[in-house]
Amino acid sequence: MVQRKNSASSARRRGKGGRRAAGRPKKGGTSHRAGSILGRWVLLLFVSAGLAGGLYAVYLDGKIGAKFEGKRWQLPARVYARPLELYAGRPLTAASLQEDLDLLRYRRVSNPRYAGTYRRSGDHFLVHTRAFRFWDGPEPAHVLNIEVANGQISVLKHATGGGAPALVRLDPVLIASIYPADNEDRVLVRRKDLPDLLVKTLLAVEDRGFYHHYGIDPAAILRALWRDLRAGSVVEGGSTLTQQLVKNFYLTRARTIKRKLEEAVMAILLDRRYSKDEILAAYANEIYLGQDGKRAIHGFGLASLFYFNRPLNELTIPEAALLVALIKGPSYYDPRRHPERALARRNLVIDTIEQQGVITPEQGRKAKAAPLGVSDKGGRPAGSYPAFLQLVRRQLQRDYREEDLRTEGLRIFTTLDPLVQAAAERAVSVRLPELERARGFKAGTLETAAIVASPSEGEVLAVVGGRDPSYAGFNRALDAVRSIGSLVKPAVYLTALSMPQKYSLVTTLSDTPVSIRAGNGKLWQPENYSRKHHGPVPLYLALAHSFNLATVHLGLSVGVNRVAHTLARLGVERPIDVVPSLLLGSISLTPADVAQVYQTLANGGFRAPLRAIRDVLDASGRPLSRYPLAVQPVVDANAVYLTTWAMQQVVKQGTASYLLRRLPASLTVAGKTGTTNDLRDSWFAGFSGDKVAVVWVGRDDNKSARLTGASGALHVWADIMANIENRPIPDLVPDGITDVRVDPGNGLLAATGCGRAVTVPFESADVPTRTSTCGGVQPASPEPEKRGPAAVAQEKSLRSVFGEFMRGFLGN
Amino acid sequence: MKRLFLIGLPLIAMAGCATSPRIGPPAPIETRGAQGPGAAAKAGGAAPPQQQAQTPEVEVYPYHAPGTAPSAGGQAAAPAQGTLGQASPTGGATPGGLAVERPEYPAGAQQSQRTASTRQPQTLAYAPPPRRPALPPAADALLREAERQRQMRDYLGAAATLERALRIEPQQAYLWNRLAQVRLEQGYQTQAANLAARSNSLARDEPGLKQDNWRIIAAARRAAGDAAGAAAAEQKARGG
Repeated sequence: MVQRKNSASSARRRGKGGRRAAGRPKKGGTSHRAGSILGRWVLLLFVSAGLAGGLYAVYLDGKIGAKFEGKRWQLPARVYARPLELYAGRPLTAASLQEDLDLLRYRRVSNPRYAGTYRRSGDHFLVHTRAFRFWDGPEPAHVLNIEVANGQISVLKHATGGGAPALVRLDPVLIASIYPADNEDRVLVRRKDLPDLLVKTLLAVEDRGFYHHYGIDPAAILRALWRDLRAGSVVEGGSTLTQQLVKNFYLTRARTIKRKLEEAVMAILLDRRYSKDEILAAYANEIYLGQDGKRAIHGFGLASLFYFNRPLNELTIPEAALLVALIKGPSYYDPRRHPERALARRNLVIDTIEQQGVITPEQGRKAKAAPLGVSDKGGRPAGSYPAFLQLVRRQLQRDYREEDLRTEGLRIFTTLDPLVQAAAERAVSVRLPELERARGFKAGTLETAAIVASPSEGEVLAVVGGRDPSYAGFNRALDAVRSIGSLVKPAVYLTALSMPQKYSLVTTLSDTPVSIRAGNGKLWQPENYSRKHHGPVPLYLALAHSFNLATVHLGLSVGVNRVAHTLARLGVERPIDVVPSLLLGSISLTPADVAQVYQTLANGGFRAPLRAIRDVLDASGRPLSRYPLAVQPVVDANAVYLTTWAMQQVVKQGTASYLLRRLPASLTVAGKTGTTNDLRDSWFAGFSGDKVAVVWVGRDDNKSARLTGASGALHVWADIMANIENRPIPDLVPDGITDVRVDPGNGLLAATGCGRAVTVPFESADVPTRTSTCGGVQPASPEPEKRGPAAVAQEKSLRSVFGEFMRGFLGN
Repeated sequence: MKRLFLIGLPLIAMAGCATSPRIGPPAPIETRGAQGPGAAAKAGGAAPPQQQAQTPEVEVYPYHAPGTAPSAGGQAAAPAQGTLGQASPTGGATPGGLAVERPEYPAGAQQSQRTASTRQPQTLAYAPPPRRPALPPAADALLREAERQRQMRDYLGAAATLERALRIEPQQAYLWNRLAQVRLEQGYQTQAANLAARSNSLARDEPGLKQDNWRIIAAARRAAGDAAGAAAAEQKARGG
């Protein structure tokens, strides 16, 4: 740059000197003078013209250099779901594998010779996978024999006889792109990524002498002129690729002579500066090839995805020919809107390459007979996941600027499981209309939210933000703060069970009326959902049946403060009001907050912060950052075990017993129903061995949804869990826990022959020592029908002036 | 003479068109193994990225790694909101300062403040890993790979591989123990202790494994300055 400036200015200086020198009259004869003055003026003219041209060329050259070398294409960020890991013994159904292959746009063929194809017959798959670069390294392409039987992968082998791989990853599904402000979209390709066929076709049609000319090709111009005259229409253009690149890159599309000249000069300069391969690669990335709404499609890499849903190296002859055909006019020859024109031009291109020997006449014939083959969903992410992406954005924004997200071509690998997401969306779309009909609501009244995660790593697998999953609006899963009702109870019981000397699963609680004077002087007198009182009940049954009164007694006994601390340790980060009504769930959380709490419970007391992103790579595939797995023990593991055992009883004999009918018998799950006053919120939060899920159903206007947890959210939850891969809760008793046969009525050891004995886990250090007489003591079974004078008095006070206030704490 | 001068002028002017030395390579065209073409087979399980010579083919994106990004405001000001989706101070930031990990590149390694302040890499007495249980082949292959990476000090890679194994076998105590060991060697003591505790909670009749976990917990407590706790843990590690 410096060198040029100096030479330019010094040239100018010398130029002036030169003119002065030229202008000085020469001593000599007049005849000589006349001729030489004319000669000199002509020379001067040429010199100035040359100078002007030179300076202009210098200016253009500078323009090229600055733009071409510093050229930073703004690349959109790509967001991927989790890859499907294949290994022998992995729980998987044929339908799930098919679904994943469909999302990845693998083509079903009879002979999978190319990456991105597969053959299926029943439960046998022969899959030719695509190579992909992950954070921890490249995964090469494989040809795999996969057999699915009994709900798992029974056979996984290399089809080419290379033995059985232990573990293989499919390429991940692209779920979103985050575009730069100018809405240009491209997938960058290198010169060596361009298939030979495509390059030859391109050169044959657009610029035959590409490797020989020096930027412009006069012979081509003449030839094009001749051809066009003969054909009677514009068949070939005379512009070289270099000229086209210049036009696309630097100049506006004015079609004046001046522009053409400028283009020519710049093309020559470009050709001098850069190698043919570099120019070809730049061209292949810049050429405008289509429009998708606001998104402009640039470059062959993206165009092949956009039109055929396949990467560049999987294109066939007619497909490559179509791409080259589009260069002339992507809108005029748009294969989706003007298929006949596109077909005609494509076949013209095929003819051209056949003539020039790029393909054989046989190939040409077959190619021309092939249909356009343009797909419907062009290179767009598979499906839309706005709710999950909102979560991804929020987590990314902590570490990356918005501008970087849009322009740096980051590759973001998330934790989304598209199959779980699809199951959740299906469950919601099927169940909600049913629930509305059953409750006499107008269609569209109820709303919902769901979130599914993995307990051991805290990875978010699916997020449903509303009944219309494709709507990118208010994300109820992340932002709808609602009263949680009975979902809080496991925290109360956990607090108690953390004190094993005082409480065990068979400690007798009294499900009897309680009244407390609240801070403002009013009486708080909660009731059971059924309005009945059950007298003495064992602790685990109180949780299984969600008895409010027993829970309040227990909570007051351990201290509301302690319960609040437990909640905070389990992962609640919102401020918690320490009031007695907290014991029945007068705290408002989002489904995501609840999911964090239940993740801790499902993970044996180890909290793993829920995260949506695994890794981020930059545009060149270089690892940028990871979001690692991290856990923290926050509550005593044995106490959590006892609590989750009781939560299993919720399913086996409590409010969620519907699940016994709905789910397979081998799938052990645990959970808790949640209902709030006036049935405004219907919740279910529960987990299996490897999934934790929370579902909320309610109304945006906070009116009664006429649904309890068991009649609303539980059904949606069951639909999700029944349709995804699940491992049962393992049957393992941890160290420090002993199973003991006890009499639930009094919590004492049961003698053999005691009819009502149950096997209940205890902390080994606090196992009961005395034996029950099993019948010689007070009966222990809850008395559902008893309504004594105390109960009647309660009913009267319910109708009192504080009725509304008290009803505020009714519910499960 | 003057004629020469006059002819020389345009030539000199044309010299102005001479191309200056290239500042750098032309437009960036680096796609390693994207959905794009030619992504096939960088065969042979390439050495982990940070072990390659850091001369990227195209040095066009001077990516300013986060940590310099102005995200601090969001953290400081965030009220106690939900864990997910809010820029809360602890959301995602795990105890032991492991919020985000980044590969360490020789040029311009950027460590976030959070990780830097709690890391104390230490030289440890060599401790042989506990006896490896029989694992299904997938988890076993990943375990071997992780062990190899750990011995080559590729801790990020080892952690990533172990996490992948844990996704397949989340109840496998041995894998948690190995991840705890990697974190300990990286210097993330708190996280190492947590992971060792998780391993203990899943371990059944595996006294060797439990003792190794206690060893890790002892090392973490000692590094945190909790001498009494460390002694108690060392007692358990010896089998007491």
